[in-house]
Amino acid sequence: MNCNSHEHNKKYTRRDFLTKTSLGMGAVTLGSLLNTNSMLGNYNTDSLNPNLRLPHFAPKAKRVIYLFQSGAPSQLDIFDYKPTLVNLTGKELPSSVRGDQRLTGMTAGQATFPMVGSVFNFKQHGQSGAWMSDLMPYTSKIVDDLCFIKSMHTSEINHDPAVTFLQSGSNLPGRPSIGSWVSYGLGTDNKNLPEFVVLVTKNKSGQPLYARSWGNGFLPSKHQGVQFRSGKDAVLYLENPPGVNHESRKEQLEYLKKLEDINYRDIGDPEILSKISQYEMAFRMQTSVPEVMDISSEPEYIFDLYGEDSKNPGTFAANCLLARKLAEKDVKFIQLYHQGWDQHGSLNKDIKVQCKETDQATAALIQDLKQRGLLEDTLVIWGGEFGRTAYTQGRISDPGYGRDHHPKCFTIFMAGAGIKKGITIGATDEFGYNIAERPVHIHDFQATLLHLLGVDHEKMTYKHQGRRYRLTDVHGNVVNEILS
Amino acid sequence: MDLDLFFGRFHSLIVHLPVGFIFLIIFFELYYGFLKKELNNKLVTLSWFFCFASSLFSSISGYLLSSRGHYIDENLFVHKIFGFILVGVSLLSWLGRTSFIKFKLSFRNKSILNFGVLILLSITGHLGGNLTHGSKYLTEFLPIQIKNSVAINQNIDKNIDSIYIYKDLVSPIFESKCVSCHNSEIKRGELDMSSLVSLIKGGNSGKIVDKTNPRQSELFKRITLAQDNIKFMPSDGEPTSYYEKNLILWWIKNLSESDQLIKPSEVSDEMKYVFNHLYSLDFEQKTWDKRLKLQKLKGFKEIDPKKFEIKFISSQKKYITVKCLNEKSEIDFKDLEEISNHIVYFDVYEGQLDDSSIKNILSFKNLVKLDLKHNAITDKGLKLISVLENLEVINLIGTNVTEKSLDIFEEFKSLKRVYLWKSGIKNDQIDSFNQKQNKITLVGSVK
Repeated sequence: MNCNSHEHNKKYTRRDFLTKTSLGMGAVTLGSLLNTNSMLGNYNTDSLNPNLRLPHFAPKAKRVIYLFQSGAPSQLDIFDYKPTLVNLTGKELPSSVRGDQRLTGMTAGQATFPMVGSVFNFKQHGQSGAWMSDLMPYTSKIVDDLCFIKSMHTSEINHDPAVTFLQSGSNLPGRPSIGSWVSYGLGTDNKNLPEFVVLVTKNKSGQPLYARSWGNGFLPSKHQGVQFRSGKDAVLYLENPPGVNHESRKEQLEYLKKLEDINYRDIGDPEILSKISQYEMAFRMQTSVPEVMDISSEPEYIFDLYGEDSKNPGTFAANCLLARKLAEKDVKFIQLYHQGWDQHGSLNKDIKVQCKETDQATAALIQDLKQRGLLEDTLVIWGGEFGRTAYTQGRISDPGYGRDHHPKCFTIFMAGAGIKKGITIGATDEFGYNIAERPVHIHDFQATLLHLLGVDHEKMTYKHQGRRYRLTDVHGNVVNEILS
Repeated sequence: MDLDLFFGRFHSLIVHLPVGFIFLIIFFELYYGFLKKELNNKLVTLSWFFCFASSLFSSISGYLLSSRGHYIDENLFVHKIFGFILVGVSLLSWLGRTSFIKFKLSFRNKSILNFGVLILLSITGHLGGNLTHGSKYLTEFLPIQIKNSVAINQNIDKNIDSIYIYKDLVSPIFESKCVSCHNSEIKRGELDMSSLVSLIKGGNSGKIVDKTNPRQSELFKRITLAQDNIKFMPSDGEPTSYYEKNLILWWIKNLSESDQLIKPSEVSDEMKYVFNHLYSLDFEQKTWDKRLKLQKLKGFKEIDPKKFEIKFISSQKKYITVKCLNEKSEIDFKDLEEISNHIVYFDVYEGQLDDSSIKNILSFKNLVKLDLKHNAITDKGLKLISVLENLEVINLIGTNVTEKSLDIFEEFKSLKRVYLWKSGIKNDQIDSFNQKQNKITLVGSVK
């Protein structure tokens, strides 16, 4: 909801009157900061594009594919190899390691905190020698294209605040998500598709997902993420109702636009403009969405690459394939959500399923983008909202160990535009509990992401309720070590 | 006895007297001439006598100092000659104002002569300053913007992997601080520091550089002694700076008989800092947007949006990305003439370009990324554009290039990545090329 918009007479509030008269051009809505047309530089560049302020500098990445692993995958079983933990399995985690860090209510009451090493085998892979467990055989093969950050940390210990924090820079709901900021700041490269598309793996359970994770917060609503679903209607209510044909729909929209224009002249609420542009976008999407969702023309070897799931719409693999197609169509921010990583018990069994669902398609997506030359300007990110503990939740055997939420350290990886290949930065201590080297906070990660898109995270702001907001609030430093 | 040197060293003291005298009297004459007032003639004549006398003593002491010969001859010569001329001219100026010879200077001739004296004095003084402080002394702290605009900087403007350690990094220090006394002609202490060979040979006290024990090397010891030590070097002028000492020590440690290229991968971070401080050497690989020097584009004629999608890459409005649209089968390069230097990304639509029309791309001098996918380009066409020296990425997916292009890739100056899926180059050829060198990465199909 946009609290900025007044119900009546938006144009004539005292505050607006003063702003317009005192600042003149200041009244130009920030919402028009950058639309497609102002990016077109044909004509006198100064007089026609006074608002072209973004990107601040030449971007390395034109688009982002964020493979979000909701529920927090265990870094200790996939990436962060800790032989000490394996050797000390069953022994109590030294209290000096844990310190007085807070725990969740789920394990705070545990009498003991026995350490548990991963039951999976770790090996070094590629020329870069990156450690990976055998849970991800496909991703292991492409480690030389990846950049691992093993020292991520967050301020939040529970799922929803942590996801909200990661996606919007604040643990409280109501701020715009990363994709919305990107859409607002950088505009579109393809006016027939939304700038921000969300794909959620179907039939998964676990921690719930809320649409506000891809919400626009206080930004104009046209910047919110649009979820493409599997099945008949990729975008709900996009198709014309039975009996209405394309032509009459077009005519209907034209009349609607006239009415809305009158409405806007009266009231001046920018949400009306948003609504008009969304109607028009929806109309264009009636042809563009079915086109991009159609995977029937993909050759068999592409399906083989992404794995057997890729022919089954709505799976992670099928969504990865779609992500590539959306990237080819220049969609700016493509976010996949895959639930089910929240393994408090039987982790050693359940994590195999999760990895099987995601490993091959993730590797396939990166390779497929690479062979098409798209990895040149596409940034791919894989990771969850926090890490998991070095000690077990519940008993180690029967039915299997579990790991609780652990915000103090976790691993993510990135690949593609502007990122160094085959490197690992940051490290955790030998217990995998605290960060030993180069901590990277969520805000640092967000600052780096924006930097790759050519945006100075300190300069992209939006004024709301009397103050200017940024994605990174008042924090964040670009992680220069990973930039190529 | 070193009496000559004792008196000689007074040169740097006495030399300031004529400077002050001459400027003062000339300003007086100018001022009174401007006001058309009479000046006390006796005082003027007396002043000019002081000018002549002090410049005479300066030049005598200077001559004594120079005869000990630890200055480079060519620099000294002009200073010396100008000094003598100045003595002569000031004598003339004095005589022209006295009453005991018939010769009198008219007002006009006085002015001309005064002007000449000023010029002579400035040049002689400046040359003298150069001798003691080095020629960069005056401009060292000039604001960098002005410095660049008059192009006197010692920054090395070479690619980081083509810099010689001795020739480019070490010898400039020796040239400015040591070679004036230690060259092939003067050779104080039998030491010639003007070439690497003679340096390694050493002087009276034997070798001056010892690779096995750099800190005990005579050269390093001499430049790091207490400054009032008689053996401290350089005995005149600016001592070596902290960074220069670091660089010299590093050079001795890595000494080799022949001059070597610097290997960026083997230079420690600390030394990188030293090089950066001394020569603005940047060991970071410069990305294209920091390398290209383009001005902001003010405006240009409208270009048909049906033919091209044209965008600024950033709000700096320097770099443009151009995507050719499907509307026409041939590209109207004429439309792009005005912005050709600003185009950094160029994206050609399928089937718009062939081996002959590709030459038009040569006008995009600052092109960084070129997308030629699914165009009928062969090795011949690729060869044509290999002179584009900023090109870093080429997409050749679905083109007809063959293994002959592998050699052409290496001709590109800045090339980093080439995409070759569905082209005439196969994966095993790509693999062997990638293994052979590490400058360019070829990307084929997924294995």
